[in-house]
Amino acid sequence: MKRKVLVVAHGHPDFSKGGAEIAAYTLFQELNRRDDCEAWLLAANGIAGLQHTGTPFSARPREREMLFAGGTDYFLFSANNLSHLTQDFAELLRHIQPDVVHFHHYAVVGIEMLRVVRNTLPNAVIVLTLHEFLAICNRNGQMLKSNGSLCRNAEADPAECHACMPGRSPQDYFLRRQYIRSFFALVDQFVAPSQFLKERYVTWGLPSDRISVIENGQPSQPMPHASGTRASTATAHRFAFFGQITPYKGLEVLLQAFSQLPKADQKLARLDIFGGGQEMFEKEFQSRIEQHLESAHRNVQYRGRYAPEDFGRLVATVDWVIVPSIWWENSPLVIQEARLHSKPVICGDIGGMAEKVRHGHDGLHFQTGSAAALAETLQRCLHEPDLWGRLQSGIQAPPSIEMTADDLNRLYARRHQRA
Amino acid sequence: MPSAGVAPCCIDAAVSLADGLWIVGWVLAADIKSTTVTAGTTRGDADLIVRYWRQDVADHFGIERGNRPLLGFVVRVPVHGLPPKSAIELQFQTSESPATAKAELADPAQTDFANGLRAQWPLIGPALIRAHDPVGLMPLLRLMATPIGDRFGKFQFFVEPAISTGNEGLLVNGWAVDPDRELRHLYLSCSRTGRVLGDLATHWARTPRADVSERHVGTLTVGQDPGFIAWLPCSGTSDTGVTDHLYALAVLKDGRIARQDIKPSPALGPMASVQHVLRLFTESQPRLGDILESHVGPAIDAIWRHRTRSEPRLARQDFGSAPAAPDISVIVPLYGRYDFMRHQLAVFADDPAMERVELIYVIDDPNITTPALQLAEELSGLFRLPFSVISYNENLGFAGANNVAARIARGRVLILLNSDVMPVKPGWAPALAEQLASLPEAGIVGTTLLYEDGSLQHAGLQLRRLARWAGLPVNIHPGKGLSYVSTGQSRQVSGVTAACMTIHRKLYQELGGLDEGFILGDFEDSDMCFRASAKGHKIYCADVPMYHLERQSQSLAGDSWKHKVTLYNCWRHSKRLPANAVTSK
Repeated sequence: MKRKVLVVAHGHPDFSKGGAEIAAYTLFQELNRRDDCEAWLLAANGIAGLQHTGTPFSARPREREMLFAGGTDYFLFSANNLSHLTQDFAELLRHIQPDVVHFHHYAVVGIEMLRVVRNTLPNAVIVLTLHEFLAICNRNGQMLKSNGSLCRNAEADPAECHACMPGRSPQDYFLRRQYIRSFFALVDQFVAPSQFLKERYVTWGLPSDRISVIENGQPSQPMPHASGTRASTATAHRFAFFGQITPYKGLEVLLQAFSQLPKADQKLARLDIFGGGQEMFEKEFQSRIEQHLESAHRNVQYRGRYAPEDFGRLVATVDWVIVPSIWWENSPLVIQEARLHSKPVICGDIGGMAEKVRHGHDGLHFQTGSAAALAETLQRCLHEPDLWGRLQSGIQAPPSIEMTADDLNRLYARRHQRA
Repeated sequence: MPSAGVAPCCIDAAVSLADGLWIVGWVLAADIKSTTVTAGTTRGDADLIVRYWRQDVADHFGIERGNRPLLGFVVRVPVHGLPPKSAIELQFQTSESPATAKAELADPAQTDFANGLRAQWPLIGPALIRAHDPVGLMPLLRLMATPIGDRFGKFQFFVEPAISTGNEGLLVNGWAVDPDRELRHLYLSCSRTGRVLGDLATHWARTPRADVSERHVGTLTVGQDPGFIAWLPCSGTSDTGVTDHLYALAVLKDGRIARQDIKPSPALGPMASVQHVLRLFTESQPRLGDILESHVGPAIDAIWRHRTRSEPRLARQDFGSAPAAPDISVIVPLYGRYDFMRHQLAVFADDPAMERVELIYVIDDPNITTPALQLAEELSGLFRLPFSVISYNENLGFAGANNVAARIARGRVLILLNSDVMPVKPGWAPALAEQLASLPEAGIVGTTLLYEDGSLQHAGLQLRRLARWAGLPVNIHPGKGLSYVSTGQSRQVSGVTAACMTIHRKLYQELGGLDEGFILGDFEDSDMCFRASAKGHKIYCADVPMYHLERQSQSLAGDSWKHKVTLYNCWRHSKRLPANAVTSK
């Protein structure tokens, strides 16, 4: 008998290319590739025009790929339309009869889905992959305080949350935590892509043994041969930033660090910025980024957006990938991709990013948020002989989706036996 | 003109008013033995006669003051119903010669008469009100009154529309500036019935009125509060039109009479009337105790007791099938924030003990009935815990809501629970019921309530007199805000909050439930504890901790009407306490 796995995601990569959407979709595809699995996908979509009347469901033109008319508030992640869950989703569960329901998110789909699974299929294994700190932190799950400092309030203490975001009362934060916990209590096994994330959730109140650390593996590609030579044959080192240009990703720190490099070093270092999305943020942030770019030396180039499938081609042209995020990060996709392409990563010394890059072995850490520290690190890259080669040779391939699926399958089986 | 052979006598004016014929004139006689009036076939003897000095008559007859009679007279004869222009004859029997005079009744609606009389009023008025209770002279006084205005000099007053307090009186407020202490009476009267409802000047409590004080700077001495509030207990004040035809009559010591027609009161429902009354004073004002005790307190009490109450039309919806024979019924009133139901159900759902508990939500807020019922329906499908929702088309207040649910509850034990109370641990409901069953003579069991930060919110009530509130006893929560340390022990206390109150249903019914005379919801829990204690039951606070997400919506300072509802409830509570309830501690 094939194991039936229903993967639930908060978005479909056809419409939204976030890391969690891609991870869920990649898993769904990989499970279906296996003889012992039958995977279904239910991905929320927020596009009103795609929805049919009288049902929350619609489909992609591929087998077992469905869309769900989700919609939640952003505080409790409570479904706007509970009857879509308690009636329609329950009906779907009875129809598919999955052995495992693996949630890759609860936002957009509605946190109450967890209970609907438990109500409808008491014996189904419920797995939830945690992607960031959203259940802990209502500030976009970043655990970055409104005053810019890093938040260590993993208990989600209501008083501290209120002090950070006074728009809600401490009582509201208390209820939020209580409400989310009441649904998380129904989950058989959590998956955290990083040890760091797991620890935060253990502090928040999840039992340690209920969280497995399993990286969201990437579709495997041949790892380019670690040649020991840099992409650029010229003497200049090519550094690159990949990703969404958001206030949390720390591009400002990176641009400041570059402006602080001595004149002589400017000639030795080049920075390419790939990414977009700054228009989603406040004007003040956008104009700061523009000013930094305008006043930057000619060695700093903004290269615009890129499609995920172009990453390999683009990263091949650079020597170093810099992840200057000013928040903790969980398990940034860009680090995995840089590893896949044998590029040493320079990143902040905290959280999930510091966990995924081993300082001095396959990359370098710098004091998170400090342009001066990053500038110092950049100078080290430029002047320390053979540093690049040494770090590059230390890079190990990131986990592949096959490995992830193997791990998850074992987890499903273990849980299934217990159920 | 005087007739020959009898004492000279003359009628200056005669008029028929509501209380009889009033005749003013003069007679050259020192002592009048009796006075009779004949009008056609009707005869009557005077029931009132007042003499006063007539200088004009004395001058005419060359009489010197001091050794001669007062000359002037005012008599009232209880003869009713004579139309204007009726011919009357007045006969005096004196110790000397008799006197008679004839006249035609004036029309009181004609100003000639009033003006003629008013010209003599400075002489008549003081004599009349010195000799007789002005209440008995109202028809004449009203006729002689002039509208309050500049002609009264420094003396000014204004009476605002009155509020009928149930059918038991009127609550009146306004202001009076009287720097020279000229005022003798300030009557409130109804022009339709002629009833005098009371003398404000003997009832009122004076209150600050900054606006009036500002307008009368220099006239008022510092510390004189020009405002007043007065509750006049009297029956029939709800009768149609009473508050639409009120006037105030100020009787000054010099006999002058000032009148003010009071604007009709707006038609207010009981709650609006209560709000109106509460806006008439401030918590921080002087004489707060007197205002509560003699005016605001009894006035609101009367309004609230007399509010018309129909049996609420209850609608009941059962979600899921309730347990067959529940031992415990949990009653949760919902007011405003119905989303708490979501949060409670989310934690109740995974508490196995709740499967044996009857859970009743009471929507005590017609504004939320529709969305709350819709949410209940949705949550029922999700959480699958059976519960019932009672709704009705009014706001009964906290006591009323609990009482309604208690009447349909089936459990032997009731747990009254606020919607913002969240259990810390599963099994809380049977744990509380067990305490009620096992503690010696337990009638009511409250419990430890914690703020969301884990600090103590409630571990029993204690009465303490609050100086700022005229020394009324308020309930304090000893230990509030301090770190909570679990003891696992129940303690005997004098009262517990109804935010989480466990009580035998039988006792609840014996006590008649929570007292709905407290407005909105306050003090009825403490009141119930004292009533239970009076019947020999003991009150305990258990240590089954629950979170109470009470928001500090009102503090002990502030002047909102809701805040003053609390003050009223506090006063009402104090009136019902047993003598030894407040410890001197």
